[in-house]
Amino acid sequence: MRAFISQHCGRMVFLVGLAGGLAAGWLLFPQLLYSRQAQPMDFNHALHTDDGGMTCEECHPFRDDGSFSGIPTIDVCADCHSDPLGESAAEAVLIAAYIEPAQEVPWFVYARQPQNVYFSHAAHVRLADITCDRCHGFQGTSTTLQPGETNRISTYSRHIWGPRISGGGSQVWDAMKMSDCSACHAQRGVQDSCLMCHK
Amino acid sequence: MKTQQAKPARYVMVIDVDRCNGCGNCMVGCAVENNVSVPPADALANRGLTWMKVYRVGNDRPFPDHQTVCLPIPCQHCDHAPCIHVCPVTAVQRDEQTGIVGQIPERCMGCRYCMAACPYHARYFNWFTPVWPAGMEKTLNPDVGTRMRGVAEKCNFCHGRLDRARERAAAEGRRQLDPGDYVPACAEACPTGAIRFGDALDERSGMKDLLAAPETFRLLESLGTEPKVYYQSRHAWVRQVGRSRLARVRGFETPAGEGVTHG
Amino acid sequence: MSVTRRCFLKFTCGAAAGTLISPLPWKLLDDAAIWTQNGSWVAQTPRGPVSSLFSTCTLCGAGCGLRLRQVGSDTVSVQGVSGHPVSQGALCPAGLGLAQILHHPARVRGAMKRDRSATAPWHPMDTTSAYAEVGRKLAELRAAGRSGEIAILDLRPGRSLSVLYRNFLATAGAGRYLTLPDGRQDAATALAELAGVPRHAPGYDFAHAGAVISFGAPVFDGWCGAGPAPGLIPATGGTRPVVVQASSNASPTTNLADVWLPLRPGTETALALGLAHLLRTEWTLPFTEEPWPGYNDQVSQHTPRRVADITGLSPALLQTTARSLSGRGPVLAVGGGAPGAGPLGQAEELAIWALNLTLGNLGQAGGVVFRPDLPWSEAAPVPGGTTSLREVPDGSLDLLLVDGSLPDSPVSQALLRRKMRPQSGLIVGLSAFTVGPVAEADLILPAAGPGEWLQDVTAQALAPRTSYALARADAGLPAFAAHPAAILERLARTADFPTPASCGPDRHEEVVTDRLQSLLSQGTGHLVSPDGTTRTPVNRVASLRTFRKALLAGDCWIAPPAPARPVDGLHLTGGARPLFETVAAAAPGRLVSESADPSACPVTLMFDGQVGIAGGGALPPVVNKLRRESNFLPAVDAARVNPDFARQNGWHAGQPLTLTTKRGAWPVTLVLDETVQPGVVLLPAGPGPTGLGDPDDLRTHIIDICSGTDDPVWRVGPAALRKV
Repeated sequence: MRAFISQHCGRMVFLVGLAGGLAAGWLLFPQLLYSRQAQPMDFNHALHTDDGGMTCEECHPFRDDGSFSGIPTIDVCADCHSDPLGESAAEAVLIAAYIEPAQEVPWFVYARQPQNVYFSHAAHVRLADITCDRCHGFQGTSTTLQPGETNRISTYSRHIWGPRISGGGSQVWDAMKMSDCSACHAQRGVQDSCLMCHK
Repeated sequence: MKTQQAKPARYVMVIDVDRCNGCGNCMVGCAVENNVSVPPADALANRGLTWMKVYRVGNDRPFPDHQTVCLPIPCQHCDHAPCIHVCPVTAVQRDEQTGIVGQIPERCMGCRYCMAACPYHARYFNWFTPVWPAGMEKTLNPDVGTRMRGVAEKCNFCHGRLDRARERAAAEGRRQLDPGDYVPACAEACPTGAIRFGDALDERSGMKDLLAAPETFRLLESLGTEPKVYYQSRHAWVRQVGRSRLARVRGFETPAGEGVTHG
Repeated sequence: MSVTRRCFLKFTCGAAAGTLISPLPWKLLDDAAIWTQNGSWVAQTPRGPVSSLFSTCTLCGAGCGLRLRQVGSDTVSVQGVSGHPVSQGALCPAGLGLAQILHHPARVRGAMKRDRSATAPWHPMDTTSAYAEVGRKLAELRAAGRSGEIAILDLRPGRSLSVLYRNFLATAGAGRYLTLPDGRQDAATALAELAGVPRHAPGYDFAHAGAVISFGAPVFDGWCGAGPAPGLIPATGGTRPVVVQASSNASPTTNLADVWLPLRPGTETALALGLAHLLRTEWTLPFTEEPWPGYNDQVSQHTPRRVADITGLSPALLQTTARSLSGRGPVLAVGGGAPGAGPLGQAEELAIWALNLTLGNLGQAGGVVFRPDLPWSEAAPVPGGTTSLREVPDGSLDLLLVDGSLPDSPVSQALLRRKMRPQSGLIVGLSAFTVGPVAEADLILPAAGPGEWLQDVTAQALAPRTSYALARADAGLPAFAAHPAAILERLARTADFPTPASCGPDRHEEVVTDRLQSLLSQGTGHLVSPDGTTRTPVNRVASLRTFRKALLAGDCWIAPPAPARPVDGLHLTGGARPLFETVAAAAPGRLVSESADPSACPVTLMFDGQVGIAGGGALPPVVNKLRRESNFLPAVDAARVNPDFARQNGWHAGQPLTLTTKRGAWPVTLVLDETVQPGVVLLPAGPGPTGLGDPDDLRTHIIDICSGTDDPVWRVGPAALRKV
């Protein structure tokens, strides 16, 4: 055994180094690269859609000028929740910390694109008839919110690059890079131009 | 599944030189709309960013037969754009759907070959990091990106306004834009109506008649760039200057009139 | 087994190889590239819902309609409103940059004190001490019975704030309310007096005129914002009046006019008399009652030959002009001066008004219409009197409060200083910027800027329709700035004046409300939407609250069109000098032949400048940037002369020269410009290159260098150019 080791010492050291590099790159690096933060409070989508009977557009409507309102402002929540509707701790936090002092909830937006990107919900939802779940997945039926993960260097949300460090995901909502959008555009025969999506 | 798209458009701008009074509204409106930054006070004049720039041309006759007209010159959005041919990183591209020649700051690596290639001097470079005085960042237009030092920029026919118009149309269930839905900032700011803008392929815009008028001309036509910015003047001398050489255009010289300078 | 260097190297190579096969270096590079485009050095654009609000611009007296584009609650940009009943969609470069102006580098963020000896003259001062200092002085003057030495210079009379200024002066005792000469306002006031139509203001009805003869007024560029007078640039396919522009130098208006009369500088009076002569001969108009004794003789004397001698225009050109004006419908003669060139002068305005009388257009559509004044126009008299600044005796003021509005024309800082007592005189600016009319002030109290307080806007002088609008406070009032009325009240309290609340913000609100109520009670006119499409008669407006809400949403109150009320004669209301003499003195021309500096080349000094810029107030940073980077405004020390004239004198482009007037000498740089008449030097009016008003900057002294007297006409003056 010892002979084996001493005979192949160089190679084994090399292999140990190789394994270490691979481990650092594939396992350690993703841990270090992303910082996690919990959402300010939990939110149960399923409770609102199934039990509450609401649709996506009731809290995430289009405005009259066609722009998308995005994450609801606190007055949307206050419409129903000025008084407690249930007994959850999250609702108590909502009322005490946000509705009463009229503060906006600092939600982490998973799908936030950088400021040089122009994305039109109207073009996708109204004109291309794409449903919310096609791009946002199980979000609408989830019972809890995932923590938000931010790339420490690029400051992008992890949902842009995807959960796998090698890039990409199997679902649309996991990967929202330019190449992912372009792939769908190509598939659907959309005539692309740079300024269509960039400012 | 193939997506249905709007009919292709060909956006053109028609500038009536005889109506232009040189007020500079177009320049200011453009700079405000497109988040054009202010270089340091001691920067050279030709280090500036004036996506729309008003030049003056005289008829070379002595006072009082002298006449001056003002030529607002934005990017001409050429169909055969020299800048597209020379860009090594494809940071500029013509959109087949609209005809707009779009400059993408993210791709630009600052070689300035495009600036040398453009015969209209309509391209500008960020020599300095854009710095906004305290509080002025809140007045930036969210529809237009900001650029960093080291990239070229130019007029994009206010593409952000096209996006907003398309969204508004989508909200109303329309794919096709109506004339007047989409107007660039310069055309909107012009107090005399000298700058008109529209889709030449849309009968309702009235552009076709303007393009066919006898007083319509383009700058430097002989170069074959096929610009989409047209000018109109009933004065033959203005049409002559525009077609042949721009060296007589004041502003292509230094303010003291001492020869041609290149930005 | 020992660890050798070879082992170490092999380990390192293995690790490197492993890392290279993993995403680590590639992702790091990618992310680093992205980081360079997203770091703190890249400006972040605001996020939020985009909305539009309508308001009115208050930068100059034009009162153009504005569409404010807001992201969230911040105003991001400003555009004109096409179809607007007052401005027809026009706006000027300064107005377009309105969103930026509140963040101007010269924004006053606390009281400022001027230290003349330092290179950077303005220093911050404790605001409380500043108020205490001014309050103390006010109290002293009042106690010593010298309240007549307290004055307020109101740059935009007619606002609700103007009422508060007057209240402040009344509570001070006998304070004086001062206004500044303004070409358009002076012309309007003079005509109203002479025409003897009380409680009416004259306006030019361009839209119905058949021909317009303008004496230097910028009717195509800068009459309405940066745009033309309404009706002068028709929609495609429409027609417009024939326009004759009489102007010594070429301009955008002369280019767009049908006939350009390049008359010698200062000879407008002769031209007006000559045209009256020609039109009577051409049209055989009946000799109307003389506007003043001797007018008919003056007109008869001004034959085409004589006018040609004076003005330098050929008799043939004069004949052509008269012919082009005839047979097209109502002819309108336009005076009023220009923002950058200054007022025309009393004699010129008289001759022009007499020409209008001869043309029979006074009180008629297409001519000079007399529109009813606003119901409150007869202001209560101020105990100390209302005076034009120029008529105040030199050295007779000890405390002058200067309003912070941006003036339409440059304000002579030397003139302000001359009116103050030499040692103790204190000029206090109530301003949001350190530039503009307060450039020479001793102290600035930080006031709210445009859009930070509710103002009311009345129709500009010589507008054809009386109007009233509100400029909303869309930007919140910052902590460091105060509502101008709050400044007045605080000063009044500090000085222990008897009724400080009479000039405070609550009173301002009351005045605005009273005005709205009086418009409502009068029951005439319409409430017009900003785009001009919806017109609601005032007598159908439900309540004061609805009325106010509509005006705050951007609607304007527009009076009914002025009814035709022909005016047959001009009535003398008495004056120091017979009108005949005034006109006769100016008829041969205003130029003084002797030069200020006999050893240098005599020239005529004239000025020009664009509306919104010529007044010399703070300009949005984007406008200052454009003036450096393009030719749309001349360089600040550019002395423009005709190339032939320059060649005769051996000057070349870019040559440094010294410009001398009776007031002093200034360095200029020569620029050759064929639009300038030979013998004329044209200087630009307006602020310096950064808009920050360097005290040694030529521009802050611009109109002080021209006239050696207190003649309000500074547009033409003798000067000399000398090689350095």
